[in-house]
Amino acid sequence: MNDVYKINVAKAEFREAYSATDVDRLLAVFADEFTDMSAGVPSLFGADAKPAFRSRMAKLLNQYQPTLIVTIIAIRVFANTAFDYGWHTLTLGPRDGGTPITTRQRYFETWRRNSNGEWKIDLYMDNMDVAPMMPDAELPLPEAFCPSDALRHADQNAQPALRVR
Amino acid sequence: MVVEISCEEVWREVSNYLEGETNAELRARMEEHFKGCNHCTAVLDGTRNVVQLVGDATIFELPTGFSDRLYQKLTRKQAKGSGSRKEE
Repeated sequence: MNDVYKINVAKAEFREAYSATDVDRLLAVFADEFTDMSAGVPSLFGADAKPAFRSRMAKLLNQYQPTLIVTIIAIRVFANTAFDYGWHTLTLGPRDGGTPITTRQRYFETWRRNSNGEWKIDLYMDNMDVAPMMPDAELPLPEAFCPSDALRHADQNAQPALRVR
Repeated sequence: MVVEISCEEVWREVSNYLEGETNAELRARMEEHFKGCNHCTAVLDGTRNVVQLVGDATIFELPTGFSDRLYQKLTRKQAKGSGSRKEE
């Protein structure tokens, strides 16, 4: 089994853990100490990341039934380090009824091979996807550099697109 | 559990997929990928079209004198200049 295949297997495990709403299984795909730069939440580093990620995911999966579609664009391996990038399309069906919410995030993550030879996510980063446009179209200014009024006036209280109660 | 596959790997294997030369596991991974990836579905459809066109052995019979008439018409058009469309 080559390294690209192993990362594909780990990524499938990531997807299946979401569907099974199994937080422990999901966390097992990540290194014990990793960097979490998920959209809409503060960056967390090292040993702080996993407990915070566990708490956030437990709340999310308690409130919603998720269906995740992973689209990996490419995987690159350099010795004991690798990265991949692509899209996560996540549909969250509220457990108390209501309309499912679908979001599509662009993600980038780095992987590190541990002493057991297992690949674990070392850094995770994502942001909201934008619909495709032709390169010569009039592209909008990046939201990060030109935030909407809501974000500009309340950047200390900026909230993720989906709030966890 | 169907193992993920990246777009890059799909592109490398798409011809083999169309020829039925992928093993069952790889085929299942690619089919799962196509469900969620419009880009790769477009590549698959495009490749399928090219394979069909190249492999199509149909030969169309042209009407008698077609080549001569086409040549004469192009020659006249060239002589009159590309700006004139009156003859058409």
